[in-house]
Amino acid sequence: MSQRQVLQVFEQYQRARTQFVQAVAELSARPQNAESLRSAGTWGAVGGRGGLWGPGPQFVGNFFTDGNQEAAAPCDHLGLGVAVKNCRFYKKAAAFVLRAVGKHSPQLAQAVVQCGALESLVICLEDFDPGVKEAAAWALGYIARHNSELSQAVVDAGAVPLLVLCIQEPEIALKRIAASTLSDISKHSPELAQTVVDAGAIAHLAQMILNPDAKLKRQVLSALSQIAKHSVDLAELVVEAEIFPVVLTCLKDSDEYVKKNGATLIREIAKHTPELSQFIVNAGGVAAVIDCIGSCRGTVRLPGIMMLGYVAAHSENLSMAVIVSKGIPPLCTCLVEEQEDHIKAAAAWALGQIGRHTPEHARAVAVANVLPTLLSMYMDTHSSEDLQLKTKRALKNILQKCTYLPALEPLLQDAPPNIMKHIVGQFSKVLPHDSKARRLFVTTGGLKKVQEIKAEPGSLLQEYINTINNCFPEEIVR
Amino acid sequence: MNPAPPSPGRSPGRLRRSAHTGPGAGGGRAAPQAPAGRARKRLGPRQEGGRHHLSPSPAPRRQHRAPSSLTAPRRLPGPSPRGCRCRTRSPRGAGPSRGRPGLPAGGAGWYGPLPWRRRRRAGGGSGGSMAALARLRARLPALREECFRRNRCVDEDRKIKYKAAVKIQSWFRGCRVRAYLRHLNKMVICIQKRWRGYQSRRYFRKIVKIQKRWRGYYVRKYIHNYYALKKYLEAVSVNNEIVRNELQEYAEMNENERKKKDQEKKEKEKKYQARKMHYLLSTEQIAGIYNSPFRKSPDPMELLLRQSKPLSHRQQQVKSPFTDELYDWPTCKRPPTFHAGEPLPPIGRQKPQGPFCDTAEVLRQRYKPLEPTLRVAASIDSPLGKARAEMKREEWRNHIHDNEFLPFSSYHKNEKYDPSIHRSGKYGQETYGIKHFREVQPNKWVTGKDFQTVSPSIVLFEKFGKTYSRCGQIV
Repeated sequence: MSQRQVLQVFEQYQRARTQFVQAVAELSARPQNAESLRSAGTWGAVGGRGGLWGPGPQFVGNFFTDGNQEAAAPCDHLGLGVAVKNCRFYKKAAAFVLRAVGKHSPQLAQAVVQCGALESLVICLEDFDPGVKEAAAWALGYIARHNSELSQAVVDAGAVPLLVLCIQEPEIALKRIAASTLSDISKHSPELAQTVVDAGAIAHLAQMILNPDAKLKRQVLSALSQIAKHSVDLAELVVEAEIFPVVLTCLKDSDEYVKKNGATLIREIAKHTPELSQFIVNAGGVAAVIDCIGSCRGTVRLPGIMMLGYVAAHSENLSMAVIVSKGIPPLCTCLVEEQEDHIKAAAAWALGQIGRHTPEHARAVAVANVLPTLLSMYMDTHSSEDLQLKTKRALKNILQKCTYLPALEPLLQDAPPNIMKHIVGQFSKVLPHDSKARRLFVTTGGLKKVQEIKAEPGSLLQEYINTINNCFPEEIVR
Repeated sequence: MNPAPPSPGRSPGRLRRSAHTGPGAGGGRAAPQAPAGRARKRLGPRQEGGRHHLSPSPAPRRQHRAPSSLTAPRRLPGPSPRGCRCRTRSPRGAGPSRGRPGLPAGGAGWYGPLPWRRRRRAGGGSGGSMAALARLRARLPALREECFRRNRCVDEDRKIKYKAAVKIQSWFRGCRVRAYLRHLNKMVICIQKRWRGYQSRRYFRKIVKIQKRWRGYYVRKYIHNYYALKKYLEAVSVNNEIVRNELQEYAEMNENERKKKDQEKKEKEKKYQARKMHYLLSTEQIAGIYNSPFRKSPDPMELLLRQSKPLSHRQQQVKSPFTDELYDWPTCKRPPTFHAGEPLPPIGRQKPQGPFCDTAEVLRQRYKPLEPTLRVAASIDSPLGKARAEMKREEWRNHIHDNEFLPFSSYHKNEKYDPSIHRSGKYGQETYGIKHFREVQPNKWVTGKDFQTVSPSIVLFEKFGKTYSRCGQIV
């Protein structure tokens, strides 16, 4: 009888304790209570030796998701590595705490690594419960995100093969997190990417592109693009996993970020060599990317635009392929519609790469009536430096090959001298040989404008003007 | 008078010096002021040959080695102050074949009679002044000596100088000829190179014509093949169209699926609502809200209500099984709040007739949430239990036998001792091996004699019975 009463008292105590910790955990979920909690000394009450079980780590985790960093240090000393031996709730909660601590800055992540948490996290990755694996993989991902030393530490702890195993598990959330962690690991350096590839990740990631879950696709595409971006060999390995033409379906997904990551992947592959770009063109990738650009708005377009620029930059045949796939109109609309300067700069750059190869290419670009837009952007004082530089280069490249005079004439009016030089140079090359063009030149008032240009005698511009004047009889020139 | 004659009769010192300056010219006499200790390369046989009339000792020869012409002291014209060395050095007549003896007569070492000798002869016949003649006569023997001496010197040096001169001249001629040859060579090369260039260019022009045509053809056909490029671009656009169509189909398919899913969801929602609000169904007496008498036909909701089965209460309970477990729901972003409040009491309605308990009470009892004790909530395998089980297993493994150790002798009082196998026999202890090893039974022997060995036996067995002592009782 008395024993039962005694036990009842103890049970009451335990229950009260649990309730207390639960209540504090709930309170800590709201950031406004953090200050009062800290001043009330809850940390000592809950975080002591015996208190950190059950919902305790969850409270600690909440405490840290708000970014309170002072308590990080004692947290490590609590030996969260003890997480290994406990039940799965404890492991999940402990991994949550480690993630919350490690995500804020590289120094905190370094502190987490130094307290030996990586080994226990990797052991948690081998656990049977998928929730535990997910929590551990998330924590590892956040740690590896900061810089390459931390990633190297994660890889040295032997996490990569286990993550590749996690990717093959049936739970979608676990796959997502594992893919995101692999992406974070491989983004820093080619060696890390090679480690990930050596563990056989590419085949599994390539299979998962077909999965209907949008968030999973985002992470998978991001992981593949981080792998492919480092070198030609890695890009070729990714291509050999037969992602084309499946990846093109991702460009038609309803989720914006899936499209963006898909375009990023194709861009990272296309930028290395002309052969890879050729392969992508043959697979119809250019058309898919152009459609994708047309359908998106905003930053999501940026990787697609850059991809077109890279493909066109490699050779004139590829550039012609881009033109033939009707790539110029979306780029022009991009240039005009977008508000952000960096997207406009990318579009200008891409147009420059398309138009710089031969007069045919320049003509295709000029016909789209994009040169005045470029010029106005170059002259605009509100444009950023980068935008001005890129538009100037694009203009120069296109103008040096442009022989389509109707597109050049509007530029005569307000071009600055460095651009005027090229325009007049082109006129001076074309007019001596083409009588119809000469007639048109006079009738549209181009000759008059050329006369109005002031140039220093002996400069290149003056020579061009003289050449033009020599094409016409004296009376007209005066 | 002894005018300084031209080169052969010049001062020996001068001659000597020119001999010295000839390359390897037998390095004539050393200048008297030759700097001491100047080591000079010993010249070879020429030197020997040229100088063999001198004393054979090497030391004076070294002295005779002249320094280079640059450091040799300048020689003034006229007889050297010390005179020709040959007089001090060479014993008269020691040198063979130098023409000494014949000199006065022929005077022809190599050069023929010396002019001043001729002059000398001529000068002796004048009747002018007797005193002069006497003087001259007085000087005559000395003159003769002088003449001989000078001739000898000159002749001695002559060979050396001749050889030296030959050498110099030959060397110089060689240089000249070589320079000439080099020049010729250069000219020849120049001519040949121009000629060859011209030849090859002529030939080249022919070749270039062929290469030009070939390269144009090759480039146009394979590298910048316009038609192939055109075809390729057409193929690219066709391929693009196909890809675009396929992607369009795929996008449409996705869209359709999404719409279908949405629709299904809405339908399910509607059906569920209908089941929940089944009580709104109209009856014969009372028209439900969806079946207004003023309408022509009932509302679709009414039809749905008619079709659906009423929702039973039991289904309500299995709605959320996740409240107990932490973080098991993967997409749960914020931690689940622990429900602190009680469920709402039921809306007040008439109490059912009969001896029923209070409805609220009943519901509270019925829907009381599970409140597991700590022991239950924690994992089945507590660490303490696991550790105990582990210890037990280890101990069981390490035991040799399972008999418990009983510490006091009182436990072992009534135990019978089990001897080991070696000692336990069927009827007690075996004597064989302890009391005796080998048996000997004399009453069974046939004869008193021992075995006789007929065939050679094993040596060891011979010793049986013969090596034992009297205690063994066989001997």
